[in-house]
Amino acid sequence: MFSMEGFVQFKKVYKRYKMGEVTINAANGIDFEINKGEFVVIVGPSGAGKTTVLNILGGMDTCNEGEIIVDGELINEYKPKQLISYRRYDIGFVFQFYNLIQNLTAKENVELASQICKDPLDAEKILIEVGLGERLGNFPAQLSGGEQQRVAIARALAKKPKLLLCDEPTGALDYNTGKSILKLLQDTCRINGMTVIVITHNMAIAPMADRIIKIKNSKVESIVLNSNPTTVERIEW
Amino acid sequence: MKSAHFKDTLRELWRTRSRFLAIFAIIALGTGFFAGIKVTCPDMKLTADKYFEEYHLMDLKLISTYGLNQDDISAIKGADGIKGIMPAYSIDAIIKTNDEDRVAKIHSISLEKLKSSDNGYINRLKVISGRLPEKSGECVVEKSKIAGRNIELGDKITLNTGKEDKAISDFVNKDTFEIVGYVETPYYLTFEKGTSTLGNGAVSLYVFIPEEDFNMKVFTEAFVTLDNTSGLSAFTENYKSAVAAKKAELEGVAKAKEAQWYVLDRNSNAGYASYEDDTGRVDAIAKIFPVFFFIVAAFVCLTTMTRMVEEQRTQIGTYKALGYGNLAIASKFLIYAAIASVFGSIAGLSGGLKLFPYVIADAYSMLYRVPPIIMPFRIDYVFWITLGALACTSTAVYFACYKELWEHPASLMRPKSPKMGKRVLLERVPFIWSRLNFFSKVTIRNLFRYKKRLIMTLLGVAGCTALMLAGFGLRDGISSIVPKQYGEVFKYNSMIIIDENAKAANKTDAVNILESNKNIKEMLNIRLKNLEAGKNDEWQKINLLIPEDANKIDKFISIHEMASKKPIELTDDGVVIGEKLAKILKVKVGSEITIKEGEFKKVVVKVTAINENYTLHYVYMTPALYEKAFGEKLVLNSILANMQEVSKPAEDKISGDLVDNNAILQVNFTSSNKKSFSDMVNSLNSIVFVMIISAGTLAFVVLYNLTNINITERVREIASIKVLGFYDLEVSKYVFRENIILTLIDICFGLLGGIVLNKFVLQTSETDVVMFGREIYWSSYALSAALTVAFAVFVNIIMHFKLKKISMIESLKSIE
Repeated sequence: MFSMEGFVQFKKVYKRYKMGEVTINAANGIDFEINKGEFVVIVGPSGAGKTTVLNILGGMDTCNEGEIIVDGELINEYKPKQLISYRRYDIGFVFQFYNLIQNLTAKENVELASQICKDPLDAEKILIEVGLGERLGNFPAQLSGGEQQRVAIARALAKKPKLLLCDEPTGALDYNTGKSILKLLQDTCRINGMTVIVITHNMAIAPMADRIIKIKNSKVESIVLNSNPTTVERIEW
Repeated sequence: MKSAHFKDTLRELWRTRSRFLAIFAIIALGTGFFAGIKVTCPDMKLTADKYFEEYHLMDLKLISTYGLNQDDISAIKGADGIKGIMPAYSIDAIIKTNDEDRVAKIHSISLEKLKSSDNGYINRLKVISGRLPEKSGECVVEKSKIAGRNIELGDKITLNTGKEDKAISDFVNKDTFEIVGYVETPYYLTFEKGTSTLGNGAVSLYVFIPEEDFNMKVFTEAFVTLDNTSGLSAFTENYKSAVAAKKAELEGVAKAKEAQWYVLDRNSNAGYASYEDDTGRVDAIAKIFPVFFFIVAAFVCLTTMTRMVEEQRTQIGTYKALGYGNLAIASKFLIYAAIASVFGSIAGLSGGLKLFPYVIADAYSMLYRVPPIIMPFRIDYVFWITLGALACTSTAVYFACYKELWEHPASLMRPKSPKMGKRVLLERVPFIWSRLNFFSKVTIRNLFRYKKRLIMTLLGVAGCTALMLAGFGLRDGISSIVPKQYGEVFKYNSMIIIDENAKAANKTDAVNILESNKNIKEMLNIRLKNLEAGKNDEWQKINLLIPEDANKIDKFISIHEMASKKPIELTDDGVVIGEKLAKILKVKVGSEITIKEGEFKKVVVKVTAINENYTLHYVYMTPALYEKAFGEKLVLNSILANMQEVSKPAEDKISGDLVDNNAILQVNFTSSNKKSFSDMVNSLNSIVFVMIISAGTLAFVVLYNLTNINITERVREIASIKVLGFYDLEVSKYVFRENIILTLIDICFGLLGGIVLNKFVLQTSETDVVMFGREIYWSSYALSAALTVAFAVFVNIIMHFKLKKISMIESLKSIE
């Protein structure tokens, strides 16, 4: 097995957008490393470039310069079709607004992902695991926000991805629900050994992570390793 | 409207230009089709009216049992309101040209009048090529073929009376004329030139010779134009009543002269009445087809505007919050739709107003000899149709946005909760549902999710298939007439028409020549006569056919029932008539019909059977019945012949052998009939082509628009599955599966609808003397379906590239 060290590496990654005549540097030489099985929180104010990092890491966008290595593979050299395969087999996404398909039940939303994978987890089993055993046949509109986010997490996990990427997963949820979702993510990391990366502007979440990457003005401001992460229950904001 | 608001509208238009184009295109298609077919009838009438006026078509024609002398002419001239009068001669004669005998109508034309342009020159001649006659011995004829060969300018024709006891010199000074020109005249509007007592009664050609070459003592007829009809369209009630009034007056003049006069109006001209009927047929089609296009246009507009209003919820809220009124906000959508409909109408009308009348008139030109169609700019049509399109789109806009306009700005600014997923009925049948794979389940659920769209596609796609099938079916119906009539019904290869007044020796001679020809397998003597048959004052020209031996007819003509193909035997109880004649006269087996010869001789016979027949009306009778009913001995005047080898040389041999025989009037070959008919069918292809293009554009616009809306509506969903790692083709499949299934279902509906539509089209476009084939070929079903699929595939290919371009990042940022 490949080394646990440097499972994910960002080396001098630049991303520039042209907005009319102005060039915006959404990523201005970003550098960091993440080890396998870590729970990582990327924090920073809105507009700092967090989402750009996540998009590039998740294969939804490409960078202009620099290297991205995931599990020994150079992602930045992937062709569009390879990027799709990368998203398909290696990445699980969780979004702020869940992005569930409205016309599919909870179970079917999970199947949507599992049916395109080589060796997926059973959709029902994973939904039971995230606590939705009773809600398998419900449509998204019949579920609460927290429940919808659980479906989204289940959908991401069903593919057995190498990375679970979460973009403001609690952004649209109330305090308690948000906490329970974070608990689920932390458990997924601790129990299943999944590498979880959470993006948030909420600094209060940071203490629960193994590694905290602070981003400001499209650059990494600091990387803090936390050898003693707190459990979700003890975090307050 | 404030200028900032107006700018917003224009930018919106540019931003959503593909959507704008869809509305524009469907409006153009709808208005073009509607207007084009709608004006065809008035355009055709106008063309005819102009022609009648310019060429001084008679209003009335007077004939008398003893002819008309100078006194009679003066008496007519003295009547009130006579604009012009032209006394004239005409005779039926047999003309010989290119070794062929034909029955022709010979008319006089005054050489002085040709040069003048006073009102005394009626039924004027239009020169197609060559020139008008300038001196005695010259003639002009209609451009026509005889036995497959053109009559050439410079050819000579020889006249004879066709009767042994009458010399041609009793009628004309000369018997040979040189053809110096081809002409047309509104007096003969169609290829149908009436009947004659000569030959088999069918007139093949009309000829105009100088008046001075006639040596008859009295005029045979007088043509009259009237003052009170000037400026009136011949197709109006005003014209008809004006003519009827004068007709009564002239009949009064006739009574004073104590002679038997007949005053005839234009309806006595061959083909005149059917022209009006035919323009009416186009109008009947105009009542259905274009309305359908209009409905589709309204629906496209409705779905598009609904989507647009949905997208602009937040903006509507913003405008409301800024204090804009409902009308001001709605005006954005109204203007958007208005620009699309006005420009769409302009584009559609400028194309449709020319294209459709032209194509339809062109197809009719195989039946009528009228000048090229006049297509004036009809401002009233343009105005009302554009207004109609505007009303249509405005109504659509109203329905699209009235709900949003009554909401509070705050609720408009909140995103609309997405439409909830629903289970479909099929899920309650676990036996089937559990067997479906995941993607089929999604597809089925999506199919029922958007009902408005379901109806739209049904209208657009099924409509497209139905239109195409109707078009192809029309072609099938017409093109199958020939193989059916000359293959399944008429089996003989040749019909030889004999002059019944010829000397007996000559007749025997002719039969001997035929019998000695080894290529002739078998022959049957018949009597064939052009008569009229009718019931309840509905009269139709018929060919009465009496075989010498009723038992032998089946080798030459298969007389059988249409549906069952069961052979019918001729009996002495009554006659057998064709399906179409039975339909027009509204008679059934067992009913009685009247057959009349001239005005005076009428016979009533029973209909014993109805047979399959496609062209003209044939009535079959046994010799015994004929002799009993008509009270005269049967005189045979034609021979049906079957040939061993059917080829051009074989046919030439037969006609060549018979050339010098005086008893032979005509030798017809089935093969040349077939050919001239298939030429006619070809010109119909243009109508079919126009139908297919219209139908295809319809399907394309509807599918493109719907798919476009579908994609913008589901852009988050599509982005989500892209993030999940669906490959491009899988994404397209995920979205298009429904399209494809819908298209396939709609094609089935379309084919069913097409059968109904085709029936309607056939029935309205059939003329009295023709019955179209009733069956649609399998190839037409296949072709309509395949073309619809092709259009759908084309749309999906374009949309595939659009799907590829959807950005995951943009779409997933936040709820729109």
